[in-house]
Amino acid sequence: MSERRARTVPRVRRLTGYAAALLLALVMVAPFLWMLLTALMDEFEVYQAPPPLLPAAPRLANFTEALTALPFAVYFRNSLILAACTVVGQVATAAMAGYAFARHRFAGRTPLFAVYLGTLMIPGIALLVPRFLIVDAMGLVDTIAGLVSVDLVAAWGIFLMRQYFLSLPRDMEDAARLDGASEWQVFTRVALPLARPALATVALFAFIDAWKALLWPLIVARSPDLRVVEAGVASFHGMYYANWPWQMAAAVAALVPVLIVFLVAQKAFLRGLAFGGFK
Amino acid sequence: MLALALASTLPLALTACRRDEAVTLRITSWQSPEENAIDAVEFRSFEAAHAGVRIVNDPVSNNAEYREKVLTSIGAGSPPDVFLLDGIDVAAFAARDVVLDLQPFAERVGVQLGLFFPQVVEPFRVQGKLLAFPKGFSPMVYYYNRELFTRAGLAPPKNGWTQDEFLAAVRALTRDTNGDGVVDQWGTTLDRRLYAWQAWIWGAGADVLTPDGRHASGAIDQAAAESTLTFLTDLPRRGYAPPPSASGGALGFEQRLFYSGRLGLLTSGHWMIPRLRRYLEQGRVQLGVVSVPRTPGHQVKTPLFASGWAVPYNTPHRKRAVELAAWMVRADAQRRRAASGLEIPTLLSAAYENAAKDATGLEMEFLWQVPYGGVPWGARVAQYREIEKAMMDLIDRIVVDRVRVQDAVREAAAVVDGVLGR
Amino acid sequence: MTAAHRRAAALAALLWAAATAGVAWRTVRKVDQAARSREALVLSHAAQGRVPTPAWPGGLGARDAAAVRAEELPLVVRGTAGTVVTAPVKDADDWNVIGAVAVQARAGEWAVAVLFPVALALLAALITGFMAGLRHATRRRTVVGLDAALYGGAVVAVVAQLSRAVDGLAATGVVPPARARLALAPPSLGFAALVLGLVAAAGVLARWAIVWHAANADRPARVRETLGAWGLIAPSLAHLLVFTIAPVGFLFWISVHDWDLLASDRPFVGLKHFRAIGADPLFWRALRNGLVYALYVPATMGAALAAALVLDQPLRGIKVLRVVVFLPYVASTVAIALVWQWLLHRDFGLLNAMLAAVHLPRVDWLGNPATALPALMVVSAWGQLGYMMVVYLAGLQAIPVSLLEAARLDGASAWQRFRLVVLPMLRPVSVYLLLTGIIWSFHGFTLVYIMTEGGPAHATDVLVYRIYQTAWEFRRFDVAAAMSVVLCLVLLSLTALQWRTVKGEPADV
Repeated sequence: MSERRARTVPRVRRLTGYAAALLLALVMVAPFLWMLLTALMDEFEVYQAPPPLLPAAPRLANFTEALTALPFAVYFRNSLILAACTVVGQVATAAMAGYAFARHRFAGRTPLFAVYLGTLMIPGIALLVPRFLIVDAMGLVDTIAGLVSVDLVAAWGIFLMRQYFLSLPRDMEDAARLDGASEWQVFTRVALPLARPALATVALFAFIDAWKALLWPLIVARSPDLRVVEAGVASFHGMYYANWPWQMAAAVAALVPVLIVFLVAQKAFLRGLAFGGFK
Repeated sequence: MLALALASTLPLALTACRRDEAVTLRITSWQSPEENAIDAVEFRSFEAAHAGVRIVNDPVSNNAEYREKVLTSIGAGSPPDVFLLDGIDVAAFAARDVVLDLQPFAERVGVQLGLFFPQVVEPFRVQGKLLAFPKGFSPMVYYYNRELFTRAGLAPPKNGWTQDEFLAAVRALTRDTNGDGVVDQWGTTLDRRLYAWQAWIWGAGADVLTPDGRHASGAIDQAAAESTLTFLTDLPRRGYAPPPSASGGALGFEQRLFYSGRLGLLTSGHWMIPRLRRYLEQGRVQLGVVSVPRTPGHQVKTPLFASGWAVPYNTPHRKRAVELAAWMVRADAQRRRAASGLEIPTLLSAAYENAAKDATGLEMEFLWQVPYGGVPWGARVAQYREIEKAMMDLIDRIVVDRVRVQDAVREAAAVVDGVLGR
Repeated sequence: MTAAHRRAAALAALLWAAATAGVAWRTVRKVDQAARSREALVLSHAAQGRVPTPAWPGGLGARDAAAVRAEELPLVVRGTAGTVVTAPVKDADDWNVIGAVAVQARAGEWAVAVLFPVALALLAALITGFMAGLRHATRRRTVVGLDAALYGGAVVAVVAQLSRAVDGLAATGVVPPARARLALAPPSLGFAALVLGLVAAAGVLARWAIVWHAANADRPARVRETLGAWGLIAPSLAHLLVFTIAPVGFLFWISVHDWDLLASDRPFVGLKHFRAIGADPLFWRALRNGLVYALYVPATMGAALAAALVLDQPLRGIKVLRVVVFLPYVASTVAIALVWQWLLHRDFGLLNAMLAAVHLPRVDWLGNPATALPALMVVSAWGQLGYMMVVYLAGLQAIPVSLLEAARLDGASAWQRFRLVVLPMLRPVSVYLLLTGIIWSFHGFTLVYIMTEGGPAHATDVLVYRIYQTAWEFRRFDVAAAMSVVLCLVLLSLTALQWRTVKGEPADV
């Protein structure tokens, strides 16, 4: 059906669409290109003024050198564990709480939701010390558990899920209830499948947040074998020292898992049917 | 019940310390992977010399994140055993009494302080205490591009040169090389940060704070300081320096200009050497190092920025930690570190040995500065970081907001007095 | 009970509460002063290097031996009155342990230890009792039983805690250490207040739950729904309580104390820090900058919606394009900052090269106070576009195709379908983006940190950057906490304002 409709879109409109999209793409891809090109440069080349656009002789060795200068395999493993736990924790709690806030009328709903929203207001940087003291009191400093603990639940995810459930029509759920489904079944069998795009969104951003997290993992981990990828990337850039090609090579490599997750998550947005086209 | 839980933590903490058959020492610094590779040699040799000791190195390259990590861990009572202390943070740490006085142990662990540059030990001394074993240091200097000087028909500058000679040089070095009517080669730059212009103020016989470190009024607002600030902020105004960039990050455009031969003079420290060394050896750049200009009638005085290995007061392994800190500054370790070129060794012997081996001659120029070195205010004033910011604002007020210098210094002095009077 | 009775009872309860509060306050002050006025007990160095046989009160057990080895200085005496703790005694160089000193904590004043918690517990009981009294007091026996258990427990816990408020140190040890400083652990008033506060909160909630349950006894469906919903919410609530709400409470506590991460003396100072930041012109400058900066959010939302509409179409290569639009959001922030620093550079920047090509004057985008903040807003918008687009893409999937089909069959034009169907259906998602977007615009500072460091002349200084600097560079955590509290209040009021504006039907957003 979508295919057919796509074909009926007038050619001119389609071309304008492509042109607009292409322009957008060019603007957006710039930092990535810069990362990639810098990753291929000789160390001294980076320091020219005006900054050079292309490396004189692409140096692929930067990648192997950067990724072996530090134990990146360990870092990747830790980052993956951290990101996986974060995704599971945030998606599960966001789906449950978001659904409850959106669909259930229950005593205490409004004040509780206000509290949830309120937790979004404090910047993470201000919570660093109190959180560290709590995690330290729990004896979780320098453990994987301490690493993943603070971000297992995200209020923004709950908020997003609530808003998404609100935008979904209720009829399917009501129909299931009439058919005698229990509330749990309504939630898991009807509501959740419908909310797949939002779940994918929460999962995607939970993954990215965890993957890009730097300060908390750095502070809570004491042993080098608990470091995360982002910390490894940052290691190439110190106070008196910066190895840009290495840093960007590591950063590009660190992007790969994120892009894979994006490509997977993006499937959830493809319901095989576009929103009707504008004609 | 909770009270009981709390009360029970003390014996728990104590039993944790009882397992002393295998000691793990944690050491942390803001060093780069390359420096850590050098230090790893020392760690292994320390382990070999001390049975049952294992060293875990937990470095954080970025200075800001390093600070966050060290402060949080010391504050939470689970400190590293040895950490790198920046000379400009000495006063702040001393005020909080969290760093162990190493003075009583120095002799016992074989650190003969008499063999170190006294100017570099000085920043770590607070009220008779020694808060760290100095590891390395650098004075602030001007790097100059020899080629540009020759091309402009100028003789290379000499240590101890004056503001007027500096001005003549930057005037001759600023030019439009491709003739398109736009200047594309500058004499120098203006760095807004205090550490970059402290030596200018000192070299004019003035200072940022009064000698007791209690006030800025009576120091930065005096005529000598004011005229030096006028001189410096006039550099971009008269076109001898590009407008100061908002951020002085590691990929700053000032450094780029210098590296690509479009800048005559750049103020910096020894830490640029590792980056430059390869190109010096290949002859791709020809550089010299010279003291920060002074005004006639006054001596050169430049801040010596040092870092040292410190031991937190509450480390559970005090003896081993002090021994490790001492191990890291012994002559062998300093020699190895000097080879990386990041900083000047703090032991006189290691420093001169290294300078004698240096074919570029730059090391000797750096060592020339040491007798004229001064202790940065950060080693004496706990609120130094705030003062640094106020001084950056001072330059902005003059250069960006176009406030008269005498008004701007008065404003800044009031701000700093407020900070110091808290 | 008649109305008059009830009023009288309420008045009496209020008076009693006020009186108890007064007593509690005086007691708090007393304990606090007592704790602070006591100088740390410094034992003078007398018998250097001599180790007489100690006569330990209570004997030197294994634990004490461990204490000697632990080399913990200064020693803070914790534990209930009567506890004996040992401190190691070092040689003159403070290196080797040559003996130990035993320290016994003396009991504090009975009145202080007992009167204070009892008063507080009564106060808590009164408050909750008073609140519950305002509702129907059903099932009186359950309520009374619950009360007894809660406050009995609270009093026991607090007495146990506060009796540890030792009033003196008796050094009964043998070799006075060279430098050992023996300090009293201050009575932890904070802990007592926390316990009572939690009990009071639990009391309110429990009473409220009982009353609510009684009132809804005849509506089992409603009860079931409420229980189910709380079940769904419980996991996230538990986590938020521990890792967010408790730290926020701690932050409030810090903001009214002179609190240094590395200092142990942390006196209460009231609103001192709030007055200090109020008098700081840079703080207001940062707040103003933040309000302007936040304007990029609605603008970006518009662009993101347009991008989502384009990228929702089944065109060839659309998947790749989505990745591309999303790239800035995942690219390293450092890379983004540097690319833009370069694009916007006065001499080498692409933007100025374009201006120069059409004979316009060059602009120092990041160096000019007038253009620096707008420039940062553009960069932020560009960085957030991909994120907002993805959320909108997800939102678009919630719109039933049948609805659009129906609109089309009714002859609605594309614009009409967009305005009348798509836009209203995307409302909840838009509300999410706007609210969180504005909040996050106040939280992000990496770009500022790398690109301008708040400059030039504070033109791009934003609140959270000031918070960061104040806490971590200036090490003034208390002032930073106060700033965080203010930021939090600003955001709360902004959010409330938006909520009121966007709120249509009650359950809609």
